[in-house]
Amino acid sequence: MVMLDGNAVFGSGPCRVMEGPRGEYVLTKARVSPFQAGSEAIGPLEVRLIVTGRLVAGVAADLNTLVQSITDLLADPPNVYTVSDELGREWSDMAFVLFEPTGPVESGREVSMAYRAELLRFLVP
Amino acid sequence: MLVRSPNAVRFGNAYLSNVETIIVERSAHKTIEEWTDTGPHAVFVDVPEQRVSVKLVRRLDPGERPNRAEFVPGVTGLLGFFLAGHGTDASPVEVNISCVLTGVRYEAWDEPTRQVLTFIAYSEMADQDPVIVLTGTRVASA
Repeated sequence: MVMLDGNAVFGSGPCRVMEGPRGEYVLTKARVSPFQAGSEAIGPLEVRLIVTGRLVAGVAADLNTLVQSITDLLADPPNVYTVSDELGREWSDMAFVLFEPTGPVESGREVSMAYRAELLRFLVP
Repeated sequence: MLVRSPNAVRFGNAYLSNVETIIVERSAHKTIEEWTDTGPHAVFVDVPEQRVSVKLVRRLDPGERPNRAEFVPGVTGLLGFFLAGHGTDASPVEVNISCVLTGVRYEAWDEPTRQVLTFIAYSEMADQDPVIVLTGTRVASA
């Protein structure tokens, strides 16, 4: 279960959290003008979380409510949350920047939809 | 559902004689399995798409010409039959299945020759079971 400021926003179904790469953003100089050989570290990579899962509800209307409750958290500028998971990991100052359905609504025993969400800790808030 | 010796079997407007067996099978066409980060076991499993297949086996009479023009793959119709016991004092049990014919084959190495028809059932409404069992005035699913 993934929590945003202690709330199980994605909690109706299974979900998993994956961290993005850590380290330095390395710019290849051949990609900028004037072209040059070599590369340069221009700063740290931003901490990125990728949440994948499936929203599950008994009926389609409840699934729509779940989706709406998540998309209501998206804003411009992005809202910032402390993210925590069941493995005891915690990430502060994570901006909620993306929610993307990754499949159609599936109507079986339950009504469900797979999704992908991204949170990002901006270098410059 | 396994039905032996069904009565009054018809597919569309065609009456099918000497039907020995009708088998209705269900299988998952698409499954969903989900895990979390906290263990090796799936925490959610569902079947949002299922296939209902029907197999009908009938015995051909010695002089019967089995190559009926209406029995070609792709033909759609209502497969209807009564469970054994129709015509007795017991309440008749009728089964209706909207389906599409997907195959016509023959088993001719033994006598009598048998014709095997295969179908896939479908429903106009995705949330309604294509196999309708009518028991007197009550409708149930099988």
